[in-house]
Amino acid sequence: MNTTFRIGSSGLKYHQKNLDVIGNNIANVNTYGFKTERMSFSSQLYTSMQGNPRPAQDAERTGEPLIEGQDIMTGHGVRTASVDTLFEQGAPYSTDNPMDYAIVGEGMFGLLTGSGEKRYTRTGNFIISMEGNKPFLKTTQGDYVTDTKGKKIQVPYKSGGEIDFSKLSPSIGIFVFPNKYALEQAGGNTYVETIQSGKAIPADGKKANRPEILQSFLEGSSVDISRQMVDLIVAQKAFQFSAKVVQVGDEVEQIVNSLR
Amino acid sequence: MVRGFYTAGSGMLTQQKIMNTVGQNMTNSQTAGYKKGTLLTNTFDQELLIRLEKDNVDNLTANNEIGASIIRYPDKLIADHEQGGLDETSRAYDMALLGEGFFVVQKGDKQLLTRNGQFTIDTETYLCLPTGERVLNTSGQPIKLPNDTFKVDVNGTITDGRSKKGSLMIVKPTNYEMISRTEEGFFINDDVNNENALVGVQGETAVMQGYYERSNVDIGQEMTSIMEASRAFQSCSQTMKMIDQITLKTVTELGKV
Repeated sequence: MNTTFRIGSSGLKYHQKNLDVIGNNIANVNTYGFKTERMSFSSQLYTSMQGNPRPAQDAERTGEPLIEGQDIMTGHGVRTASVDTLFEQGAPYSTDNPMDYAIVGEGMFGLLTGSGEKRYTRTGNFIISMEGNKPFLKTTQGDYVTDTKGKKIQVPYKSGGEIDFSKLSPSIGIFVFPNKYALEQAGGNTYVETIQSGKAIPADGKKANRPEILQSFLEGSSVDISRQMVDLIVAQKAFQFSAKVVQVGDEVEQIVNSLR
Repeated sequence: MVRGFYTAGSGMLTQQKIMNTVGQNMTNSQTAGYKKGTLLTNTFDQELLIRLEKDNVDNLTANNEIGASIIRYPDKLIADHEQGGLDETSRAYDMALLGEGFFVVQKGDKQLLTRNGQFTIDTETYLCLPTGERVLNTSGQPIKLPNDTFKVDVNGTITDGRSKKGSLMIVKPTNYEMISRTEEGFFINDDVNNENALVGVQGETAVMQGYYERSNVDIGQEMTSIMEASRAFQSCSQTMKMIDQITLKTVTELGKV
């Protein structure tokens, strides 16, 4: 009896989480540099239903060897195995801002936070921020953009007071990872490296090639809205059916309670 | 009368177990590589008959020999190994099988079978499932795949640029009745003494990289099954109530002094 409830409620809980992931994807359909996420499920622990003691008794009677594992197992619903990021290229959008950069291919911009942590991102809408009288290249969230050696970039100016893009653009560091799928989301469209992702490799032509960088472009969100809408409907149905399972469990309890 | 209680009671318990199995299928309609389960039931008098007179079953009829005590109980949980649909994700670590067969993963010292191909790597860069079980190659060893640039061809051979990384072990059982579900939701080969219990798939099955296999649960069918089981449960409980009433009459009114 309780098992039916547990199965249904596990379905409600985890399909709700799936709706959250899909909803987040849909909400970020216009976020530059956003990468679609998906949830992968796994079925929950199975326990023996103990409905049939036959295998052991049969083996005794007939003298044939007992075959293990022929017991009847019931599962306890579903759970989340992982939430994975799908790193698909987003379409580059032309802006008229020369401080916007888009990466076409593998790689990420390197960032340094105020507290000295290394982050990485695909979103290239940079700004110049003055510290004292030195201009640094930063993101809109206040992280410093780094060069291939991981150092903050001081924006070079020409004698006339204009920004020297011919020196600035090549100095922006691009990093690639052995396994980009294992990068962890750190919020604000940034990622951190993990053990599984491997250490960041500077794409300076020695160990990895520098990908194409487009100036005055921004990489659009990689969310495919039609696919996400279909996934949303499917997830909603899955949630509904789990609710039905809970309902049936409830009806059973009701019937049992009204037996006498 | 008392017998009637057991009959109705066994019906209720068995229908509940059917509801659990169907509920499990329904909540796993989104789980990659999930194979739906069906609970087969049997009646006790038939069962007793088979056990007592194994060779003579045709000559005996249940009612003559045993009596009309019919207990229904869950007999077998069978898995439907029908191919699920493939979904493209273009993620390098996602794999699906098109055709019969299973991936082989290691958990402790056991080798388990699964169709779930949504792989990732663990902290030692071995290819594994998100729940930690390592995927094995044809030599029965885990595979190190630290770079996501690798390619897997339709035979399961993994290459990364020019270096070969081995081949995924894909096997299928010669007899599907000899594999059963484990606690973690995988399948395991029960026929451990038979060397030929699991065989290679020899070009009949394709490994598709960048895809995962959807659950093969048919929601419409499962809804119908759960409604059926729920109503059967209700009917059994009604029967039990009626038997209770009759017994009450017998106990209180008949033979009153």
